[in-house]
Amino acid sequence: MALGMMFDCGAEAFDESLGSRESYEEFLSLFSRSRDRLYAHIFALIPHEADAEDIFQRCSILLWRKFQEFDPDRSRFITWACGIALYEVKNFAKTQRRSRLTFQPELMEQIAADRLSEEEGESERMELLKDCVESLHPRERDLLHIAYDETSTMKEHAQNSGQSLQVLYNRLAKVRRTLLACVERKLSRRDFHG
Amino acid sequence: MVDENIPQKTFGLIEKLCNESLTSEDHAELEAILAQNAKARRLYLRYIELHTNLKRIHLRTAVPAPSGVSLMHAVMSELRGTTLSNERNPASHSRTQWRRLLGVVCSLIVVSAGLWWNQPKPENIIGNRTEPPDSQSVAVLQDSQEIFLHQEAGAIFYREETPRAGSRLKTHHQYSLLEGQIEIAFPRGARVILDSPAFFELLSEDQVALSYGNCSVHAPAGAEGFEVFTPATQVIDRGTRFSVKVDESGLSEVHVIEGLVETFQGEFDRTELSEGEAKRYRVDEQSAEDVPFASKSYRRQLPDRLMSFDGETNNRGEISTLSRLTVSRGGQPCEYEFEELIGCDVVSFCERGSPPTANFVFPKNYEGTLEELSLHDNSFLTGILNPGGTKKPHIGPIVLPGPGVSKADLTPGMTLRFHEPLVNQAGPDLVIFDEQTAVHPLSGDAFHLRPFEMTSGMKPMTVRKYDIGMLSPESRPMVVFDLLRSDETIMTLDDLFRIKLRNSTVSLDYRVVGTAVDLSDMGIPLNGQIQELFLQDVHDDEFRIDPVLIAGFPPIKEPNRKKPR
Repeated sequence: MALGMMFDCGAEAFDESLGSRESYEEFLSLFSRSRDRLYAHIFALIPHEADAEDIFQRCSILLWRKFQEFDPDRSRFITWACGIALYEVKNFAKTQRRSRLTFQPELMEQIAADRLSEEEGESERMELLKDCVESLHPRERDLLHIAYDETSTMKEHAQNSGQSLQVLYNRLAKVRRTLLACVERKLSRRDFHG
Repeated sequence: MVDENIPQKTFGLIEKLCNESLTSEDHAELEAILAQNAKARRLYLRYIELHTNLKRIHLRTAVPAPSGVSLMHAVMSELRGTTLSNERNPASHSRTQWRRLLGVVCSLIVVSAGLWWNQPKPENIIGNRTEPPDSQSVAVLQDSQEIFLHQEAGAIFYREETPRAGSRLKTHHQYSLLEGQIEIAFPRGARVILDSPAFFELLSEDQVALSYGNCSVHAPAGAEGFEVFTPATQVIDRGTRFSVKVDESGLSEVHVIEGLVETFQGEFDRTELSEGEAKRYRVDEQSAEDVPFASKSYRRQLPDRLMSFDGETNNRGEISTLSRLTVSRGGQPCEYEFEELIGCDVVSFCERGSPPTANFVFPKNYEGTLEELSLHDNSFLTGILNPGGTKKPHIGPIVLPGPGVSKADLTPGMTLRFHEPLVNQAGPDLVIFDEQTAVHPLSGDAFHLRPFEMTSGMKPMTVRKYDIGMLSPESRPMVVFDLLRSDETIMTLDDLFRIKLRNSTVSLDYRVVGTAVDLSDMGIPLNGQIQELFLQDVHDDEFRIDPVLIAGFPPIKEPNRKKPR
């Protein structure tokens, strides 16, 4: 489909007050390329899925609204977006009455800084992870599907299979740890071989 | 990723976080660790990244791509419908909405790929389980693993043939080693020896899962990080030698011979073991208990043995002569050409106590004499078969024919005289080849062997299991041969040469099997010499040994090698 046709179809939705169609196009391009990393960044700051999803949604709109302030000569989009996300997370934490899973602001800033310093190799790690998942035993891959594809929960699977939930979690932990080690190993090998 | 500076509980806390089972106390503990420890923060970030990437991998396969016309509208509707206030939108609590938004944005990208960028194609996305991987893709994966059977010693697997040394092994295949030992070579240099019985699975190029049995791991420099999974723990090598033993309940013991290993159990409670330490792990328990260290739990090498042999074969792969053999002596493989071996002749024969049977084997169109069949040559098709024997090895003096000697007193068996004395050195010192069919004992015909003259400290030995038995991939099919049978029990070698014999053909397929013998097992001291041995069948079944070729190994040139046995 041509971009023009998409805009014709989406004309009703396009808000001229927020910027030109070109800037909207540019925003979508940048946002789409960065959205996974942005979500991961938010989740690292506020490691609770529902909270992270809420903040990600708010952040998505906010980024579009502030997009006119984005200067590609001064920073990368992901860096700019993560900066805004940090403020969103901190604001969210302030307003949360339950402080169960929110880190102190200083720790959030430290985590954000650490993450941005390592952010560059993330796409490579994602590719390596795919290789590592592929090399898992089918049983382990099935367990990952149960844990991550959200068609059923681990608890439901435990009940249906007659296994204890803790045993499943232990197995899942081993799989994650295997994958973590696998990615690290492939990275170190790649570094070693140049 | 694991570092001794990272608090042990970090893994478990992050795992709980990913499983959304973190308590407020856990959260506070994790926060304190992350605030104080940069390495723990790095681990946390990698783990969170892994968690979100796994979600990405699986969500992408789960979200179907809607058709394109209404995508932009849908995106903007989603965006417009989202509040910017800090009050949580109840409708946004569900994962589904976020997924939908991501799915829509993702789909938009897919549809406009020509103008934007390339998204991964669904068929390329890892984790798509709608169709099982075909055998070809599995084969490609296996080819890339390059895990080899380095060597085997009497290995027998359940419901599959034993691979030959040097064969590529399969990943994600449950191997059940019923007998013997194997040594597996991994691509980065790790070597794993498994002792039967053992049930294991090769998970990747540096991971093995041991569900039962014993394994000994050596991970030299470059192979650090090798992992052994058991039902109760995960052992990660840090450049070392260690052994792992797993019983039927999954109870796992780890003994560290050299260097350092890390173990993880339960929710990654980490334990570090260094040289001389041993621990036991129980399934579903996160604690480990100390057990006495046992260095003998670690096997450094496979037993000394006859490893392989080769010779002249016909176009059907059937062997007729011995050209060379490889034997492990003191842990070192030694290859000998036939000409280097010390020959041996049969100088006495008696089958007293046994029924008459075939006593000579010779090739089709044989033109030599019977006497020549008793002499040393390189042929598997010549020899004197079926010596007599006793159930227990004969201990006393061997009675041979002679003036005044009653045939009823003769000792059943055969005397072997080597062309020069055998010297007892590291590992095996001679080899015995036997002809065998599938209706005979698969491990080889059992025999007793002893020095002809036994001085102090010497003793008979009994061999019931050959190094290369019928089920070994190293046993070789034989060229068809003929037999000579007698109708009476043969009491002496002279009788054998002069008695009337009749030709007999064989209808079964025979194979050459063989075993190496260590003179130490007969009580002969290191560097002790012996020239005559006495061979007897173990008279415990109807089958007798058919020793078609016996030869000694030449002395090892390296002096004073210690005997390993």
